[in-house]
Amino acid sequence: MELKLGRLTVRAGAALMAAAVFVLGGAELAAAVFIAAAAHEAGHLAALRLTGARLVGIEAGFGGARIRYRGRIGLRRQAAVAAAGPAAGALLALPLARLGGAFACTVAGVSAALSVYNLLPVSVTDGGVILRCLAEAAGLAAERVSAAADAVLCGGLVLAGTLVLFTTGGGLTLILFGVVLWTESCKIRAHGVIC
Amino acid sequence: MAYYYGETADSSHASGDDGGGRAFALPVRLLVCFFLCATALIAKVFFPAQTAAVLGRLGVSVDYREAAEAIGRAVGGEEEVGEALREAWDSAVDTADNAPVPAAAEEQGAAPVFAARYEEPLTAAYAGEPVPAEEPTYDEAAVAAFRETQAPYASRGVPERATYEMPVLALDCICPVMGTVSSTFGYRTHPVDGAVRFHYGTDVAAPAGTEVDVFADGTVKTAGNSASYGRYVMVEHEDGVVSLYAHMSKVCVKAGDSVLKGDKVGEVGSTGNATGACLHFELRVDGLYVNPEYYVSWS
Repeated sequence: MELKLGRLTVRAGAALMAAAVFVLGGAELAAAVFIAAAAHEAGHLAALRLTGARLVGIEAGFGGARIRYRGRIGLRRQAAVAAAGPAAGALLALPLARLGGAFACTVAGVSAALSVYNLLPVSVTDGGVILRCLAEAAGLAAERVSAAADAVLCGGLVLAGTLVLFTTGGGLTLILFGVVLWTESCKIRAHGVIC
Repeated sequence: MAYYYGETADSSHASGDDGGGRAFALPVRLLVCFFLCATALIAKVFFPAQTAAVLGRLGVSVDYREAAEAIGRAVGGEEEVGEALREAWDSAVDTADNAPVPAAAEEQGAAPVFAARYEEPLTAAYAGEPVPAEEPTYDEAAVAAFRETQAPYASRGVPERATYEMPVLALDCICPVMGTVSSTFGYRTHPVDGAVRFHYGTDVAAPAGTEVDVFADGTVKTAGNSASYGRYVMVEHEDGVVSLYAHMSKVCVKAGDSVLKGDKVGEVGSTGNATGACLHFELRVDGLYVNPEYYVSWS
């Protein structure tokens, strides 16, 4: 079910996601997604190293990658580690977009989209981590806040997708996106993620 | 696309995915996953046209790469952000400007939005027309019929870069692709949002992968890819005639190639701003867009 390369674990879901990206967007898009995702994870890893926590492993799956580390770090630092991914994405996107050219712009676009997507406050993303940290810092029940945010955002996406589908005959992108986000978020919450 | 979690003291709660209770399900999941990957890859690599057609039928004929590139250009400041987002939205959510005509309309050949109800007489509407009145036309009936379809939009005048006239083409020409006209040249009211836009070409619905042949002898000026046109080819002919073929799944020529009437330039697809497989065909004469339907019959 999985391939181990040192600390990196590639689950079958990652292959499935790669295949899906390849089929929907072609080899160029797949390469762009790989580069953008690598930059994003590198951002997390660099920030994690600064906090002094010890890296246990990286696990790539269908919905993205998980970084496991050992050691307690404060809420503020957790949020910073989470934010470092999208920040790295932005750092990659800006110079590449200035460079121009179809492929550079594609990578920049994927990286920018990935960064924005990761700031959505859904359990499965970095934004969700930041939201949980904020909720905890504010003394709220983080789990409930997360669950509510997931329901509102994913439900909203599916609803908007359905509206688009019926009013303009548009595609299924939004609906698929909402459903995948929802299932992945539920998995994360069910596993009792500590953050 | 990443989330991460920390472990406090030990890894006792680590991902419960592979628990013993589900051990028997593991080979099955692995098999399903492998099967899906293999099918997808084989389909994409060896049967690209059919894959595009199937995806189109499933409603995901979307150019995600194009959407990403548009966003990238916006980040670089090369394109206005609003415009890029609109393009990305169009590519990603797949609401095309030039295709969503109801199936019934396609069968009739002309969109019902053109059903002419023109109580208003044609007055000064065409006064600003850039083409001299003496421009020779050789099918007055066709021109008159087209003008009738445009009568409801008379108050908007003729767009600066277009003409409703039918210049004589000193060219031997053929039909680029057989199919059903799904969107005609000229003004049309969007069936959904009600906005009126000018369509500078003719959309011909045909199965993805259908061969697209060049309209007449000429030289390929551009073979490119754009957010709205998708994969397209522009060919220069004699006497200032230029033809353009857009939304193709595949382009078979490159800039500078000489082509003879009927040569294959590409295959029908749904790249760029298009829903479903169709050829968007444009014809320009001396820089003005003309109605391709004057010269070509598609079936």
